Amino acid sequence: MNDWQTYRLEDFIPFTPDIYWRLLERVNETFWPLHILAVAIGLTALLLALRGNKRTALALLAPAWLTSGIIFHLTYYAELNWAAPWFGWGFIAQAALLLAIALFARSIKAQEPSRRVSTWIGTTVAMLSLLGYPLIAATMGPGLSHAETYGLHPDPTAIATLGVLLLLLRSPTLWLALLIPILWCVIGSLTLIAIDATGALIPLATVTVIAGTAVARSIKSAAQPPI
Amino acid sequence: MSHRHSRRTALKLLGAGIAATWLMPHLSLANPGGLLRKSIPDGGHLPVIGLGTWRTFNVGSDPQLLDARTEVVRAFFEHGGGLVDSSPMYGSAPDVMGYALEKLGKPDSLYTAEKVWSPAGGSTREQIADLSDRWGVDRFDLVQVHNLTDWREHLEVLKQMKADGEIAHVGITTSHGRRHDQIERIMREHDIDFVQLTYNITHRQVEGRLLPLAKEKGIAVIANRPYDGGGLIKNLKRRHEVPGWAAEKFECRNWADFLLKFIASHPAVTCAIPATTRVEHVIENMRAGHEPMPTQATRERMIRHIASL
Repeated sequence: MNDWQTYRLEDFIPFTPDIYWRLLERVNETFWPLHILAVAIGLTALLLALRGNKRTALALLAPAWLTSGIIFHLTYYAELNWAAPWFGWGFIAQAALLLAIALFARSIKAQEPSRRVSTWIGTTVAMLSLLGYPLIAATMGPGLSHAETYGLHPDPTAIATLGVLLLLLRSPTLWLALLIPILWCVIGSLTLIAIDATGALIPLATVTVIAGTAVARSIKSAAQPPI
Repeated sequence: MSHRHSRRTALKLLGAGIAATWLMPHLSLANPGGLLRKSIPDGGHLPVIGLGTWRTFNVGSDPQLLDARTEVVRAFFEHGGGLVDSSPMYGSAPDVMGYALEKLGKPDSLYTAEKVWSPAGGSTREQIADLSDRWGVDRFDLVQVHNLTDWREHLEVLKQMKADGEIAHVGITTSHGRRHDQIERIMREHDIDFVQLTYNITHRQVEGRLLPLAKEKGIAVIANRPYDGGGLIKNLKRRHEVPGWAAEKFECRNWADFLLKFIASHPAVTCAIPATTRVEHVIENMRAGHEPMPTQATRERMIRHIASL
């Protein structure tokens, strides 16, 4: 039998669920009340995105990637998972990418096909992640002290970013900006599945919704006759 | 009771003991109902239940979890535990063992088992020195080549270290049924003291060649993944009752007894290394190492029972 066929998902996760819950809790214990500021910045980015202030909105997403990369991955998660420094640098790279796009990307054309649908989906995903994600731990998980928050924990950071990016960008820049958040959502879901956590499929489901919407929008856009 | 009768009884017991030793060379019947210990190469005995640290002891620098794992280690030793197995691949587990041993002291029964891994590149001694510092021990009782990574180079150095008295025993490890052909070749061709492999009631491939070979060559066997990563006992506890006949046959009280006694009662197995985060579970595990153990006929019935679920 091929060695790789003998591996299971759990074999790649070097800690037990209680260790992961404590990791979330420790970040909360140490950095509260930074959570309020982080969520406020996230909500501002969403509001600016809805008002069409794209460059500032993109720039406001960057700090959350920087803080969750440095605090969560490089400082805490790195103690448990040898891959965490790679994740941390990936988050820092995403922060840099968002800033670069904010500085250099061309503005999005107005009057996009099915804009209303993608606006609604992007806004809902971002709002749920910014305000609803902490409630998952409080209502279905180990408790509010383990709540995951945008800007400090990677899953809500990536999910909220997916929603806001859907409002702001279009292909191919959109896909470039979505790459790291999508990768993280896949890794995040697989990690949560391996430790049998409640809501494990939420990041993966979000990726499906956002990517599906982006693809549908691209197809409609391509089918639209040139004006 | 007459002297003649008691002498006859004593001779019977002696005969039974010799027969048991001949039939099961690793078996050392310590005291009826007590924790079973089995012999290891070069003399000495190990309790049949050890402590694994994969996933469970990788807690980083979290003071709350460091103390919680220290309590697990305390309970392990209080209930007669000996072998603790770790690896540099288990994240902070060696540091956590160092923390626990600093808090608890080093009991006489402690038997330290570590591993070397990753490309050797002349780093075997360096890896062991680093791990010694992390555990806070002068030397390890056993150093194993983890999953056969660069095993030729590592094994040569380990043999030299054993000859120099820097470590007591040398071993190799595998898990999940991987690379058994290579493990068998090393067991045949090299002078090793321990082999660590996956053995539990649902993964019994090693019964065919590796366990008989270990018994033949006097190589001690550490059985990893006794609960198949935890999923086996979790599913059994959730869905099934322990069969009543198991209590009659070998005083089985729970699924930990059922699964661990199955492993510990194999004549070639020296010890099983369940990992846990909870004190009540480590106590349950240690109790499973107590006699009586299932007979061969009962072991076969246990296999049929699990297969039928």
